[in-house]
Amino acid sequence: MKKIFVFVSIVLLIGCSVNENTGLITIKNSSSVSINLTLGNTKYYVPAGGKYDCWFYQSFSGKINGNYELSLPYVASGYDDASGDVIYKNKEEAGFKTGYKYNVDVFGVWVNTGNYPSYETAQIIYAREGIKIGANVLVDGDGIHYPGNL
Amino acid sequence: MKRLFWQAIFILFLFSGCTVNNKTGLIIISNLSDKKIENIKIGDITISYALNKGEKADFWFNNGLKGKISASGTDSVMALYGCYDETNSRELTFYKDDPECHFISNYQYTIDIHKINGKYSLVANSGYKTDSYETGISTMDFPAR
Repeated sequence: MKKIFVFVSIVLLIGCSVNENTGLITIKNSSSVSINLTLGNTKYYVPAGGKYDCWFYQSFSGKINGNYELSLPYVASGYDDASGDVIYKNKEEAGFKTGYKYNVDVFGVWVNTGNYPSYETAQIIYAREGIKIGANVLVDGDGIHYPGNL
Repeated sequence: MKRLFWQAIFILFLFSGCTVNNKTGLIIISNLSDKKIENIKIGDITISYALNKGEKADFWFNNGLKGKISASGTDSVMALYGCYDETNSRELTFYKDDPECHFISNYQYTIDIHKINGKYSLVANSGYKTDSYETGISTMDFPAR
């Protein structure tokens, strides 16, 4: 029992690293409401102000949503050469690849719902672009992956 | 039995983690480059002793951190700066080279280590504050000063 406890503790403390067989999505919730974020077939609970590291071992694509009436997922889908901005599209599908590190940021915003009271807190979910570990960014063609491109 | 209880509590603690609040802040440091980076510091405070390729570390802090960001084996430091353009009523952001940085409690920041055009760069990005029930809006802070 003692050996199992020590082993589990060491594994949890050491953590993992991203390589060609693993990928990482760091979910940060900066809204005042907890979120049950669906990524593919799995739901991840992140409290308000909390973060969660979602390690995965196979590339996957699927649904991204906050399971909340006022969840607004925006997925990085490309790059605008003229403005230098990442293009985000309001869509509920995203793909994530091993070998890359992604961020998913959740924000609270006021939206006009048209009902009384007119404004309610909504959650915007930004699925950011993934950076390939060890890539020479801006030189390697596959250094950045946009999850909106699945 | 008592020992088992405390072991279960310890494991739960490791799983549950923390949340940012008005006394604590978080910096997530990710090494996205192809080599090990050591002695990552803000001012005199070491926030990570070593990060291998593909590793990340969470640094929780109380109150705040001030100073220049540094690390062994990197070529440059860039940190996001924000200011308000009164004339055009818009927020402007750009990266400053090797600036003094302030990291404030209540915010979640990221520092990424990239290999950009063959150079190893520490990039400090904007921090996000959990929205309050009063404002309903998450706010941003830019670490460069």
